[in-house]
Amino acid sequence: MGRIVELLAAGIPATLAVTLGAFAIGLLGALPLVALRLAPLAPARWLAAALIDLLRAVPPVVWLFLIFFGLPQAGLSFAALPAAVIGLGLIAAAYIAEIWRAGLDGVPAGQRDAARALGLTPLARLRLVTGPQALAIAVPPLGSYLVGLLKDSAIASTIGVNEIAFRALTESQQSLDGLRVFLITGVIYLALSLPFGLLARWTSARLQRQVAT
Amino acid sequence: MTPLLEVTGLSKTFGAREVLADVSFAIEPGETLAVIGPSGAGKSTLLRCINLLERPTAGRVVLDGDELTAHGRSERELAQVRRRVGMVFQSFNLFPHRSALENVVLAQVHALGRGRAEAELRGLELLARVGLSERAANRPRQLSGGEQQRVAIARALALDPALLLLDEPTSAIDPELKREVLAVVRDLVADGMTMVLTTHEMRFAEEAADRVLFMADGRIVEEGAAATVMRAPAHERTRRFLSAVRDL
Repeated sequence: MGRIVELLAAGIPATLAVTLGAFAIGLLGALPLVALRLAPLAPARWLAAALIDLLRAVPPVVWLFLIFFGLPQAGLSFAALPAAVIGLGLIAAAYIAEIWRAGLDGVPAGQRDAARALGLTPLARLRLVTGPQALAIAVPPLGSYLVGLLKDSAIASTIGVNEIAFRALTESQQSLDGLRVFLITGVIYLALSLPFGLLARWTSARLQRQVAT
Repeated sequence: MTPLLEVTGLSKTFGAREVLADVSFAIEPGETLAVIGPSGAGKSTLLRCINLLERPTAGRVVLDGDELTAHGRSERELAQVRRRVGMVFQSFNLFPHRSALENVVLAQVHALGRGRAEAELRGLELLARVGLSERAANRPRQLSGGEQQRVAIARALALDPALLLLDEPTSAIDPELKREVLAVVRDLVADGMTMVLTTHEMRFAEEAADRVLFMADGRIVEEGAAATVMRAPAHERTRRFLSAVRDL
């Protein structure tokens, strides 16, 4: 039992690398998407909506296969770990763009009115008035998404990233003790997701205190 | 005297609904104009068209010789224009994540480019003027409605606007707290601030405003010296409105 825990725990760094790497790409990649999504030009909005739908409609495992097995044919080869981070990161960008957008939509219209009436430029309004308030609205769903991403990172095992689920699968095939191996696997994921959930709740409570009306 | 604000043929439609129809008036520097009328008359839209929070469908707004409604102005250029017109909202719209003082300082620094020290000094001065020196560090949610509205007035004054628009400044405030807000507005009248305000406080309109403009269904029904419109209105529609609100 101790041996199995140790073996699976050795996959934690790879799991965290996939999760946090994809989350970081998602947070940054969402910014241009949401900017396009809210652009005054209609074709820009359509393009963003189409990209977001495309990223979300295709199953994550298909994106990973496309990047890992498909792109080398086009001369673009990635190792398994970066392929997983890029694939899950792009999908995360689409979901997080919608979270940012919902956050901005949730800021009361009067805030925008007041910021405009004070002669703030569009960028200053976003940075000083609507952005901080949208962030407070966005943190709880971002936290849920991060926990979801931690679990989805197990998909990286399909292209051979040496993370928790990959190790569990290999070990269960060798030891023929799948019940014990996957129960322990579940407990490890649970233990990892708890701090993420707590962090999200703590951040959210702090931000809510700051912007609550 | 040349008017400070000249509104000519202003119209605004939302879809098929005509909210403002051919509204024209002018105000001299130092004048206070009260806009009265039933809900839905277009009073708020009129104010929002003056500082271009809404783009008028037709007509001109000229402030101090500069046509604000000139075509093709980007949102960035409009931001510059709006710095010369202060606005106070019915629901205050203070920034909830900033203290009272920071609410007053924010646009001075980020719209006018004033130094922070100068902006804070001016902010404290304005908070003192509206009687809220001791509330400078409080967040909006810790203030009463009357206090929030006074901070909002200080925030609007901080940009030294040529014109101040007040959109039903006391409508969302508890009756016993209205007095403190009205006192601040009276003080501005005495100080010679040029203002356009919409209000349901008839006694206040008559006493504080130089002129009153009565609107119904997006049109100006009549306009004149405050005492004349309030005491001897020329139009039947105005009489009906005034007797209805005074019966309350």
